[in-house]
Amino acid sequence: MLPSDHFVRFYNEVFKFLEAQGPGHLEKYWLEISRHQEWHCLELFKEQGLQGMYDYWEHIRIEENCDLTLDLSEDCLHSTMNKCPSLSKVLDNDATASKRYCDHCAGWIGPVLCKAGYYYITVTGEPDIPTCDWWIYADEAKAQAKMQELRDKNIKFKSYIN
Amino acid sequence: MRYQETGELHKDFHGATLMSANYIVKNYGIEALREIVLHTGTEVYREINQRLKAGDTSELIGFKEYFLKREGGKFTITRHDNGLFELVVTECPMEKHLKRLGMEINENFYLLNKFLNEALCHDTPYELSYERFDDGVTRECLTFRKGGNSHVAK
Repeated sequence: MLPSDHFVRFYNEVFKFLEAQGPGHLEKYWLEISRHQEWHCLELFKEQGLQGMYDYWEHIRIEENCDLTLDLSEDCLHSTMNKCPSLSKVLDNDATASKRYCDHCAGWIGPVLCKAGYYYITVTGEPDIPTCDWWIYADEAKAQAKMQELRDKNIKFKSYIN
Repeated sequence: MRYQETGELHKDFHGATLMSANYIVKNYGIEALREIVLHTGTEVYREINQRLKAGDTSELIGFKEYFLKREGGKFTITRHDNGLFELVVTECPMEKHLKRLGMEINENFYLLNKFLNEALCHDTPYELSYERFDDGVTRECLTFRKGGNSHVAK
């Protein structure tokens, strides 16, 4: 049995294999993960919106032992990962980490949120530092405003808008 | 022990593990899964693999026992004086959770476990078998590789 605690290290090996297959292979895999994850969260997100998302990630914060701050307001759910247990485990590892490891969250979360009708923006830092931020908006204009704010500060981000 | 973990468990990762194995086999074939799991067994679990090369089975036994216990598995381990062992799992926590998720326990589940045991013992004096019986009970036996050096066992 591969322990559930060590899934992320196996996952990291899958990423390295897929990266070696060429462009697009990783992204297709993350779409498959996203479809799998829909079972866990899409209906909750559609029916309960930002509060449902908060509840989902609060559950994840506990079960995955995340040092995570969630800030829910009327129009935005903001997450600050102060120390990501997933990347931390991949870095505390005798195998090398995929440089694209952090891209996997947006790779599955973005499509789910798009299907739920929400807008997702994420800032990940260096691939060997386990911190990141993301914002989820119900209103596209507010998401666009956030992206402009990040551009003005010269902060690189990824967005899933439609 | 190198690979201990504490804190909460997120057993839904078992679903992601099997889903990933299914995806790899479907799109890249069984040998691709074997290759990925070989890297997992020899690099992620380097300490286990290296100790087996040196004839020390304690890290492997500790790993199996610790995580089965941590995840609430039902099992017995029979240890032998020469470091070999037999592990019988009557309730696998991974299989139990996969069924809870409504996922099929398919051939890829079997291959994941078989390939992982092969990888842990890769290039060592040992072999770790994996058998699964119709009632879901599994048996793993650590033996000396045919033609290997039995005197290196502690």
